[in-house]
Order: sequence, then C-alpha cells, then structure tokens
Amino acid sequence: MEWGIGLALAGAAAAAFLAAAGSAIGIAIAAETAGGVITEDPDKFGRLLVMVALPGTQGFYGFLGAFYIMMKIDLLGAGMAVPFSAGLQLFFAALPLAIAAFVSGYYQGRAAVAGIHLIAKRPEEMGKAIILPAMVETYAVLGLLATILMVSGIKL
Amino acid sequence: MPAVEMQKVAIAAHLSEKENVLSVLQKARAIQITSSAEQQADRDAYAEEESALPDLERAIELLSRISGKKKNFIENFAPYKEPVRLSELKRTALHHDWRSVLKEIKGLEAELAGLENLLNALQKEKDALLPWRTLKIRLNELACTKKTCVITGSVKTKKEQKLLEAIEKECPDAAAQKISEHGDSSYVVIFYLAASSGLEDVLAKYAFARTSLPLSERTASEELEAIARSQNEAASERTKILESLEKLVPELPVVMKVYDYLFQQSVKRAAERKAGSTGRTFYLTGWVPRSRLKELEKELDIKAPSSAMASIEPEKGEVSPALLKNPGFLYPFELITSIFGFPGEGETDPTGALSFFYILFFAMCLSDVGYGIILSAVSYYFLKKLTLSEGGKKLLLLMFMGGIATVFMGVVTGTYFSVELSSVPAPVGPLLTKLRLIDPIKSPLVVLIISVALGLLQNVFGVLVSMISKIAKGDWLDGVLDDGLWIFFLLSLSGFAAVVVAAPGLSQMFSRLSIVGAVLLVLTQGRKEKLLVQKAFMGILSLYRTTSFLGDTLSYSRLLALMMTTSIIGMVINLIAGLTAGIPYVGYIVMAAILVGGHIFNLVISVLSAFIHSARLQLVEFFSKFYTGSGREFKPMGYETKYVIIK
Repeated sequence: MEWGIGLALAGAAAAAFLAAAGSAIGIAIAAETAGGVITEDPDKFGRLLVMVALPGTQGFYGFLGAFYIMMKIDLLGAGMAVPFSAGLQLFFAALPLAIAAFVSGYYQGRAAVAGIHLIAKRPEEMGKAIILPAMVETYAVLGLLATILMVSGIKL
Repeated sequence: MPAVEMQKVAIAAHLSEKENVLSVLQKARAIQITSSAEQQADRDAYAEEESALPDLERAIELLSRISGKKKNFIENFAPYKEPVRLSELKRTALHHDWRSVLKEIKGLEAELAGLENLLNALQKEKDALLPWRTLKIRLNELACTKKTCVITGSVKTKKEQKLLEAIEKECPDAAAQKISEHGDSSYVVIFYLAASSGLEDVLAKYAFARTSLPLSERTASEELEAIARSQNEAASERTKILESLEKLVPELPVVMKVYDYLFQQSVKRAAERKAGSTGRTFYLTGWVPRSRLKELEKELDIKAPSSAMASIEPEKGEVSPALLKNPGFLYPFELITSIFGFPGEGETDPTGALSFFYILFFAMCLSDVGYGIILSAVSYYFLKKLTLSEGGKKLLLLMFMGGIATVFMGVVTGTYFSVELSSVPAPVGPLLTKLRLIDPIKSPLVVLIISVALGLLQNVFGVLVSMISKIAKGDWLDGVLDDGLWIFFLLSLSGFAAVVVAAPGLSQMFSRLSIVGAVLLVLTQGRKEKLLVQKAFMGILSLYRTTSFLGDTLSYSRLLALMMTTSIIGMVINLIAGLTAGIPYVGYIVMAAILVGGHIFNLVISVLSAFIHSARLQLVEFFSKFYTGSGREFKPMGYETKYVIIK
C-alpha cells in the first residue's frame, strides 16, 4: 500500500467523520429539546428547525476539508504519487479541522439548546437566539481555515 | 444617523371622551404610554370582552383543527391574514351572535373531551381484560373464601418455569393455573390462607405482577363484549360531535374577526390601566416621536375636543425609547441593529454604518451568480405574496438585496452553480473566465488577505465612527486622544505589516510611525487616573487592546471559509450528479434530481451561514468599537391583530 496516500486519506477521513459525529451529536441534543418545545407549541417548528440545524455546519466543514485534501492528491482524477512525508503533512494538516469541528459541534448543540429555551419563551427574540450558538461555530471555521491554508501550502 | 427624537407628552381629557382619545391614539400608532406614578387601579377594567379572548382563541384552534387545513412550512412563519376594515370588525363583533356560537363550541369541546377520556378508559379496561378472555368462570367467582384465596396476575414467560418450580417447592398446597400467554404469561394462583406465608415472597422474587379484575357477574369475554359495545357508542357519539363542529367551521372567519376586534379593545383597556383619572377627567403620559406631535394633536382636537396635549419633562433617570428611521434602502438593515439592541441615550443608530459591510460580507459568503438570482427571485415572490410582520419584511428585503449583491460577487469569483468554467463552451465560457477576477479555490491566500484587509478597514471605520460621535457630542479630547490615536497607531502598524514584504524600503517609516503611535497611547491612555503610577500603568496596559484588534480582524477570515464552503459543496454536487448520468435509462433523471435537490440544499445552508456570520461580524467585531445598544425599543400603542390585518 502507498503510505503517503494512506496517511493523506486518514487525515481526510478523520476530518470528515469527526466533524460529522460532532454535528450529529450537536443536532441530536438540540433536536431533543426542540421536540419538547414543539409538544407545547407546534407552530414554533419552523423557527426551531433553524436552531436545530445550526450545529450541522461542522459536518460540512469536515466534508469540505476532506474533499480539499482529496483534490490536493487528485484522488478522484488520475491520482498522483504522494511521498510518505507529504502524506504525514496532510494528515497533520487535517487535525485542526477534525478536532475543532468535533468539539465545537457538541458545544454548539448545547448553545443551541439554550437558544431553543429562549425562543420557547420569547419567540420574537429569534435573532439573538441564532447569534449565540454562532459564537461557538467561529472556532470550527478557524479550524477549517487552518486546515485549508496548511493543505494549500503543502508541496507535492 | 441619529435615532428619531422622542418627546414625552401628557394628554388629558374629559372622561366621556376617553374611548375617543384611546381610539385616536391606537389608530395613530405614535405613542408609547408610560405608567404614571399615581396610576389608578381600575381592577374591574377587565371587561367581559377581555375575558372572552382565551375562550375565543381555544375555539379558533379547535375549529382550525377540525377544518383539517394544515399550515404549510411557510405559513408557520407568515400566516395569511385577511385585510379588514376596523369598522367591519366592529360590526361583526356587535351584530353577530358570536357568544352563542362560542357557547356551543365550548359545550361541544367539553363533550368531546369527556368522550376522549371515556374511550381511553375503555381501551385500558379492554387491554387489562384481554389475557383473561379464555377464563370460563364469572369473574366474581375468583373471590376469596374462608380458607382459600385467589391471586391473579402475570409473569414474564421466560421466568414462568422457575416460578412454577418455586411454588411447588415452597407452598405445595397452592395451585397455579395458566390462563394465557401474551408476551407475559397470565396465571390464576389458588392457595390456602393458612399456608400463604411463603407464597408472597416467591411471587415477589419472580416479579409476578398482580392484576385486579372487576368483581363482575359476567365472564371476561362477556365483559369484553360489553366494553366493545360502549366503545362503539362512544365512537359514534364522537363522530356526531365532530360533525356538529364541522358545521361550525364556516363560522371560523367570524370568530377570528371577533377575536381581533376584542383584542383591539383589550389593547385600549391595557392603556387605560396605565392612565390616571380624577372624578371627571383622565390623563395619561407617553412618548411620541417629535415629528408626529402636530398630527397627533390635530387628530385629538377633532375626535375629542375636550382633550389637551402638552409636552412635559421626562422624570429623572427616565430614558426615552428608541425608534429607528432609515431611508428605504437602509431600512432592511435595521433588522441587524435590532438583533443587538436599540440605541441608548445619545447614541447614534448604527444601521447606515453597517449596511455596506453587511451586504458585502453576505455576498462574499454566498458568491454564486445562480444562487444570488434564485435568492432574489424567491425573496421577491414572498414579499409580494405573503402578509408579513415588520421583521419578516425586513428579512426578505435584506435577502433580496443580498441576492443581487451576490450576483455581482459571483461574477467576480466566476461561480455559476459551481460549474467548472473551462468546461463551458465558447464564447460563454472564455467570456465568464475573463470576467473572473479571482478564483477562491485556486488562490485562497489572496481571498484571505482581502478578507482580513476588509476586517481591518471595518474595525478602523468603527473607531472612526466612535471618534465622530464623540466629537459631535463635544468630547473633542476623548475623541482625538482615544479614537484618533488608535486609528493612527492601527494604520501605521498594519502599514508596517503590509510593506515589510512588498516594499521593504518603506518599512522603516511605518515602524517609526508605529512607535510614535504607541508612545502617544502610553502617554495619553492613563490620563483619567489620579496617581502618576496608575497613569503610567494604565497607559502601558492600554496597548494590550492591540490584541483584541488583532483578534477582531482575524475573525474576518471566516469570509474565505464560507465562500469556499458554498462553492466546493456546489462542486461536489455537480460531480456526484455527473457520475449518475451514466446510469442506463434513468441516468439523466437521477442527475437532474441530484442537481436540483443538492443545489437547493446548499443554497439554504449557505444563506443561513451567510446571514448569521455577516451579522455576527457587525454585532461582535464592529459594534464593540462604538455601540452599546443599551436603549429600549419604541413600542407604540397600535392595532395588534392575530388573524386579520386592519386596513
């Protein structure tokens, strides 16, 4: 097996599945609470759906990072030789995204729960409820940026 | 742009004209009534109309449920409201016999609830009796005699064998008879009272759950038949009630109008409770936008000649509510300001200052010509079609403008539904490629630098706004020393960072300027402290603010990340759709489905991200330079409706 490609794919995979897992956890936490609020007031479904979706972006960032690495090594095209050292570099480059997205997905879910409570009592304050969980997402975005910049800088 | 100026006023009138005054105020939607200190508690002011509101609301809910009209997803956000004249609302409420309709609905509702309860109870009884259906004896024969007793109940089937063995061993006199197996095994256990001591423990050990059967003259199967009969009766009764409720569904629009009319009355009653009164007059105080004083006074003169309105001084420490007023194209951006908070005393409305950056950042995050066109078209359609709240209208207008800006940004980045431009045939492809100024996927660094530079620009602009508003208030010294010096320092520092690579010859000049700026800051920032040591300490400490500027500026790098997210996910959708085209026969159908579904999905999450993150950059990074948003929103007394719109 080509170790270089293997390592690069390990990084891409970690970014994709850790970020997806973080989003899944975050969305599940938010959805549980939203379900409770909807039993009381089904009309809030639309608003709450937005809140539940908020921790979902991390999954996409992870997917994006994975895809970026795949493009870098031209995995979907003709493919290219990836030396061991470059593979290792790509693997490490994927870590900021993988870990930041996983952790922030979970915590953004918790922040979204707080926002859902807010909407349950004051639906007119939805704007504020959306902004607070977005504070958490910043760090997933930074992780994604770090990964993208590192990957684009790696020489192949 | 300063917020609208407010004037506190007092209005007094003869009691006989109270209704007129309140109606004028409500129609004008120009006054936020304040509670007067010596307000009179008119506790019986909760009129019959107000107490009917909750009942009407329940009736409306019930009838809408019966009518079977489901709200679709959009209607959850913006339900359709029929436009009606106030006079028509009043006529409906006064002449229509809604009280008897309401009474009928209430009666039917109570009956319905009773039947639902009955049906639930019957179902429970039925479930409890089902396992005993095969028991051939009358249920009251399962009673205890002088010397024996009977226990009925069930045990998990897998524990059944052990239970029987244990009974055999511990109380050989007892007899256990299996009746049925239905997930659990149901048993009748007969035993001598004299020898019952061990039995209880055995039953408890194997989690034998007791069932108490009704002591009836009939067998279980006869009981079940009786229950089924009652169920049928109750169900047909329920159908009848539902039918009579269905006949009442045409009354729904009327009940809605009545509700909204009474709602208007209750708004007036609430205002009344805040008003004070003497034996013959009543008076109230409130805030009115200065520009509307004349109009309000004139209207009051016509409708309530005995009334008088006078401008008064606000009480000590009382802060005027804030009303934003911006010209048409800036109006939607008030939404962003209102998310954060309304301008406090003496603060300017930041809406105009944030608008340009907001729309630019939104466009950068989305940056796709196709998405921009769709977003604008959809927003325009909903703007025309839906009855919207103020906030909803602002949001859609914002999306409409954002869509247009996105189109331009999409041309700059050369993104059209993320299609690879080199694969587009001439002359369109090469033309679009020529129009593309920057490719974020190929050169992310350039976009990153642009993002951060825009961040720096907005941060400096924020400090500049702060300086201007301080100077406008006459705080020349604070304006120049706090904000002016910071602008100088930040600009020379970032100038240094910019030229250190590009034009090293200039770097010395910028580094000297930076040092001058830093020294000036150290010298001036501690000027408000008393002791010299404190002055020096605070002066040096103030330089620490540089890191917060650095953090704020780097935060704008998200613009690059979001721009790439939109276009790369779009590319992936195109890629996957392209792969499916090869599937025999249905390939192109699958491809179309993936393209449409995928791009709609990407559009929705990208718009959500673009909205949130562009807003956040304004609220967190930009506002922190000059805006506290400590004010209260101006909430005038006006028509508040739930189901209709008053024309």
